[in-house]
Amino acid sequence: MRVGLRLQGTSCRTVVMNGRNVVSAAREVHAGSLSEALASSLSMLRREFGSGITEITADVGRVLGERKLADVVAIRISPRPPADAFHMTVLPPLVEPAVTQTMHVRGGHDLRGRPLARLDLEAFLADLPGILAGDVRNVAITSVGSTASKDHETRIADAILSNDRDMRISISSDFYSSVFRDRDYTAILNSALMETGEELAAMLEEAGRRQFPATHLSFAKNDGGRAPLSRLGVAPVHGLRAEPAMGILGAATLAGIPEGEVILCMEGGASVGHTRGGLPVARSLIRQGFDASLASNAAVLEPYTVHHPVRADIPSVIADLRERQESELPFGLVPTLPAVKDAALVGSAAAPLTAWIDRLETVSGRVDLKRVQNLAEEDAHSAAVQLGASPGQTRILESNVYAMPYGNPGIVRIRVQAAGETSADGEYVLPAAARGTNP
Amino acid sequence: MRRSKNETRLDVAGLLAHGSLRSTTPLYLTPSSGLIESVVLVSQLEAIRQVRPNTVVVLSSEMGSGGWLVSAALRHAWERRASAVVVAGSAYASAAVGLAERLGITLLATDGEPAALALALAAEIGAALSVVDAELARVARTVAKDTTLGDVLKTISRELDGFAVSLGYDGVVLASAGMPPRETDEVVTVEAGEANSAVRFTLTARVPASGVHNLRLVRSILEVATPAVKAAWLLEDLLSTARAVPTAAISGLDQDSAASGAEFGEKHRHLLNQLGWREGEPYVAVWFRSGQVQEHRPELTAVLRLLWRKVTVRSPLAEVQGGWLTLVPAGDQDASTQLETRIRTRLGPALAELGLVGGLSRWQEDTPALVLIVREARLAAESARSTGPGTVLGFAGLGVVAATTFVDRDAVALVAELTLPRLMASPDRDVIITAVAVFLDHRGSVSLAAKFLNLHRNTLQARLNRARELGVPLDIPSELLSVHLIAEVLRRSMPDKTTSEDLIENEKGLP
Amino acid sequence: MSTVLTTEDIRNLRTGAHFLTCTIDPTAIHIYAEMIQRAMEDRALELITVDELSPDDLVVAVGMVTQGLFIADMPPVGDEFLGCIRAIEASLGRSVRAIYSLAAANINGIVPLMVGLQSSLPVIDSDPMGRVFPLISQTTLNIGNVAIGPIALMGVTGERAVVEVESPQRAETLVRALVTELGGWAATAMYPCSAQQLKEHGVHGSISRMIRIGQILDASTAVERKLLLLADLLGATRIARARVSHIESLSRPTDLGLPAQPSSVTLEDETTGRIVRLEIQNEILLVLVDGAVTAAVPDMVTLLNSEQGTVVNIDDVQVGDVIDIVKITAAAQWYTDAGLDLTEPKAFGIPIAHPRRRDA
Repeated sequence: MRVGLRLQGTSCRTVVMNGRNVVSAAREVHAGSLSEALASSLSMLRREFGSGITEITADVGRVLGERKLADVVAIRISPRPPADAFHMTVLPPLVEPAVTQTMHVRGGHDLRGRPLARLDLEAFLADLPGILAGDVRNVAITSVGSTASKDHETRIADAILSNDRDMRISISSDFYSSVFRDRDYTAILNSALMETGEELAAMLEEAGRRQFPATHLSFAKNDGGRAPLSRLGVAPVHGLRAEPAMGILGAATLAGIPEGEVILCMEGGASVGHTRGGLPVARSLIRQGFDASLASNAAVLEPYTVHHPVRADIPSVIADLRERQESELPFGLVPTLPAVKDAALVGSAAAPLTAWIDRLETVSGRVDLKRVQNLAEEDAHSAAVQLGASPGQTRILESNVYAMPYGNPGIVRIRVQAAGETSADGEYVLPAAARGTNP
Repeated sequence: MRRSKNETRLDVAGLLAHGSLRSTTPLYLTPSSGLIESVVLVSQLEAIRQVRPNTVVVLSSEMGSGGWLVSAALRHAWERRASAVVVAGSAYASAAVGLAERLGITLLATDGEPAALALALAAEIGAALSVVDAELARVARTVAKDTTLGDVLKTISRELDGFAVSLGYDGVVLASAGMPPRETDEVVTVEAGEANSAVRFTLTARVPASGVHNLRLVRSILEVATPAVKAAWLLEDLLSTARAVPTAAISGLDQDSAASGAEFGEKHRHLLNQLGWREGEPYVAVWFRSGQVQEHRPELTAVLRLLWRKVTVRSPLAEVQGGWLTLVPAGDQDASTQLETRIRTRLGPALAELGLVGGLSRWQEDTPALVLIVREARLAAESARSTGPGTVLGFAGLGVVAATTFVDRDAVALVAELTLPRLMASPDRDVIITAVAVFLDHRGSVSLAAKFLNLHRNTLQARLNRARELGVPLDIPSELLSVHLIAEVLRRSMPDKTTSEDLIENEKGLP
Repeated sequence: MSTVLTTEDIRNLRTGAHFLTCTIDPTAIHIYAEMIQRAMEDRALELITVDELSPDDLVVAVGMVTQGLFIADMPPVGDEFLGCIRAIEASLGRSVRAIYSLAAANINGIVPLMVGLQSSLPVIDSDPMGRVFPLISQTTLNIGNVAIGPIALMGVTGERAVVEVESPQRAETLVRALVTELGGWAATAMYPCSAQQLKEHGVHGSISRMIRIGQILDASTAVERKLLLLADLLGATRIARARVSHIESLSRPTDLGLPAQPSSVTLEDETTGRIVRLEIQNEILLVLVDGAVTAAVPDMVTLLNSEQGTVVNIDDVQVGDVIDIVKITAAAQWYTDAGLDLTEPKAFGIPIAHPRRRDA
């Protein structure tokens, strides 16, 4: 049995699933503190289900979203600093206050991975004591061209860590976007969330160890998958908006449609997502209007409109997730899954371990392309296994090669998603074929 | 290249099950199996717009297999009601499967070489012409390796399963290879060269009419082989020209026709030695020339050289002033006679067709100087002109009669016009002239002449008297030779009509 | 007639610049739009028609040339274009009177406005493409034999070059090579010419047209209504509303001289069953409907979200999406023989003649 769990404020809400069946409907525990609520919830589950619980996946997105962001020092590496105020990188309003200090370091690479300027490590080292002397423990490093070479970012990170091992550092090459300000924003936000991520991981770890010493604990990610708690302190940004993804996955799981359309009706309106290969269809960026995008693979959930095309040949689930179901659904929608407001918790319980490979490769031809794509698939596979998936239970869900608009000939972006389960939980994975295009 | 003997019609399903399409992967199959009548290997999209219905369209590998291309190919193929489209590799075609289904056209993928598939398919459906690009390229490569004309023709014949191939010029077969089919044959001829080009010829293949061969492919093979034929021929001709230099030299050096053989030998001994001629070696000279005084056709040298090979390959034929010359070693009189017979039998018809005549020198025990036998051959050839194209004369059978050959007929005719105006103006002129000529031929014997002409003696006598009235000096011995000459010349220039009328009359007179 | 642009105009221009090059990530357009709007707070931005200049006035095209690096991955530091204009002035010994866009779409449709604000030079409502093409030689000025050089370039590192070149094709080769080594993009100033030359050989109304497109698309009207308005404005036609059924990359070997790798999208029109295929190489070059050529470069093809009427980035297209495929006729110069020579599919390595070629 698997548990889907969501933390918010000082409460903890859980659903217990066995395969595709809800064993225990959602229960919510409110307590004086979040850790008390969590401890109480887990204690109840242990009493009821004992060691039958094999997996617990926590959706911590709401907690990450409600906590104040920690202060961050933003280090930007590029050949030259902005010449005027207009050309400064602009951060979304929500994150902008978290950046207490920005530093420019000369360096950066082109798309071929060749340095555009020598990394000015000397100048940086001269300024480093000033950073370390302050209160800010979180650093985000973003370099021009880090999709092609992370060398300058890692050298700056190493320089900081060799002076202070306790600094939390987030580097932009951990997140794939071809846009500097997206990576900059994502690294800064990730950095600002790391402290909270660490706290939540420690809290979940401790409570879990007490009640379920043999159970795997994970956190839910915004691609519809999960990752071990150890990753929460390192890449909390992927847990930030897990709920929509978990909603899609939960509704699809309940309806039994690994490939199809999922319409989620919520208080704010109806949205549409899709599943393929048993997981929500994901996009590598979370767009936020015209602001910088979050470079995190996230389930696509778009507003349902009156123009929505209805197709008979695609299985579809319409899930009513609203707290109160008195009023009619918009657009004359009729729910096929009524009253499933905890679909997202079901999704958390069902979420498999997922890993992404998203990188640029220089290829010389079709054969070479096939080779690097195979390599990326192997890497994604082993990344999932490293997260705890059993090799036999791991499969490639998506494997795509993208041409780079106006890019150098021969440079392609390869994006692969692998998903797997620990050996004990194979039956939870929705049956589906791998997807993606293999040219 | 061969078409299946089985005349039942081919379809996609059949060839997929147990035919050349077996190796392909069906990406989309139409519900009803399409008929296959031909195959076309295309390397350009536009080419699909020309295909006939029920064609299998094979996209060549150099064309690529991008999905857009497959889509566009499907569209064109659909518009032409093709039976199927075959693409290389299935990777990029997958997106086009939906379109194939929509248009209702079979889409197949091959992992092999599309050209090879097209060939195999063509072999099955006998429409190999469609893949001439591939098949003929191979033929062209093969024949291009051959350097001699004989080898080229043999190779072409081999491509045609050993059936006959011949090289022709003006209806004359110059060279050939292979065996004509035993059954009734189909004759496929291609022409090469413009009217004025250096080498103008036809290539003809004779293949069985039973339909085993695709005639269009046969034609294409001949067309493809044409440049190799031309090249080999020109190369050989070039080599022959080089080999014929010593022969040409003899004719070229003989500018002083008054000089005796000894004088010529004395004057040019050194040079002749240098050219490889040895005193005392017996030769027969052969001279060819055109039957009429007409424009020189330079390509005739190459043509004649090929023909000459039918007589002997060892003696090169030289193009010389006024004709062609060759010197053939002849050890004895028999060899010389054989040579003359061979030339008559093997070349006679061809020479007639080409408007040429030939002359040979005498065989002589004492091995006369080369220049003398060359002169003999030339005289013999010139004499042969009077008998018409195709004539081959030996100087031995000619003697002094040869002299008449050199009479300027136009001048003689002019003399007649001026000196015998009444005869020339007379309406019964031709009858009178014939009478005079035959009378003189028979040494003035009215009886013999009348018998020859199948006339009554009195009739002939009357005609001769009429001649005398018209001013013909039949009774002055010193002028008789001239009269005889004029009569002969005028008789030759008579329209055939007169002669034949005479003959008819004569026949009527027969008992 | 001179117009002072508003921030609202810039917002609309942003959408219009994106609409005319739907396949490109619009981030850089947005970054520039924001920058321009902030800069406009204390400066006026003047859009003029080419007629407002003296015939002899020196005007110059400004635009980004990219090769290998997204502008959004390394935003300009801000001094690049001013440096280029100064270099052109130094090279020609004359002052530049006004600037115009190198292209009437994408980043280069909006960049000149920022340059105008920085330099206080008026921006001309004209351009030499009437859309965007990947090569700097693909211009109506080239058709009109207007010299492309001298060309001033300045890259991300601050390094500069002035290329003295006459042939636009040679310029393309040289500039492309330089840009690669300058880091992936370069700010450039090129096609310095007289206002008269631009008037004779340019495409006019480029920027105001993008603003108008933005007004249509950003309005809260139904998709069908937007399409009708676009048809009126641009003669745009919807080729199909179709669902994406297949996406592929690298479908065809590309000439190394072309600055990108192609990909294809296959869609199915669910109403009619027609199968639509898009060939993409930076932008959509070819549209086949049931295998027949329905649109081909220099026609512009853009994708709209069938539900919201917003522009769809090709990067975001997913199998299953339902998209409106819209065709827009390019400037008339492009359909002359000389124009087609420069821009028909063959110029992009696709062996298909444009349907409007008279001999096609």
